[in-house]
Amino acid sequence: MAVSTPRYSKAEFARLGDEIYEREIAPRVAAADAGKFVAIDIETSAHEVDVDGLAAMNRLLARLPDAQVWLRRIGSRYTAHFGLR
Amino acid sequence: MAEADWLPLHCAFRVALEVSERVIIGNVNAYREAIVHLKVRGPEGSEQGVAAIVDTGFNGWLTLPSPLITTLNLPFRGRGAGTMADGSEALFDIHEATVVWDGQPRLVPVYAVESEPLLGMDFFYGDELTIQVVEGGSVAIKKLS
Repeated sequence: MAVSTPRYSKAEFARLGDEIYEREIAPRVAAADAGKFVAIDIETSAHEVDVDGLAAMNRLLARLPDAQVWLRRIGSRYTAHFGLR
Repeated sequence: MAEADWLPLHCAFRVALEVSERVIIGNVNAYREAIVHLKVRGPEGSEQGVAAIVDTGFNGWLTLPSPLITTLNLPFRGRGAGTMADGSEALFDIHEATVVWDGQPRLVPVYAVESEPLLGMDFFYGDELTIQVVEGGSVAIKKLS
């Protein structure tokens, strides 16, 4: 798999990724998918959903090797918690 | 009487079986941290031993500091956000690594966080984790059937 490198700041990843999620993904997700990971290409809005975050990212990168991937969860913008929910 | 003789033998056998299934993966150190030793491998086969702290408040797989991610040349996969223990938010890079776990190589996401390496709950999903919380005590896992 080609290795993607970041072309945007971390803050831009977060802003663009969450905007795409709220605009294009959130209205269409099922309640049963809450907590699953969603990998979003912040340039094309393409995305993949999976219970496994790495699998979601790798599926998106297999489709779009140059993707700039923002990983979050359905229903929460946080990928991970470090001691606090 | 016959049953009384049989029962302790049966219990001893069952306990022995359970103990044999448990695998010790680390120890508790003098700072009361549960430390697990892992081998982390990069895409070119370069490998490094890592002492990671078991953190049951972390719901991911593994965090590593950026210099180690660079040394192992772990490929970048994306970025994400997390909540820290003080309530603040952190944005971090996500890389991919191979970790030898339970004798098997396993592809896992690694979050670039500038702390001691942390081993999160994703690693233990499907296992029973036991920690003897005394200095030198064992950290062990057992597969849940």
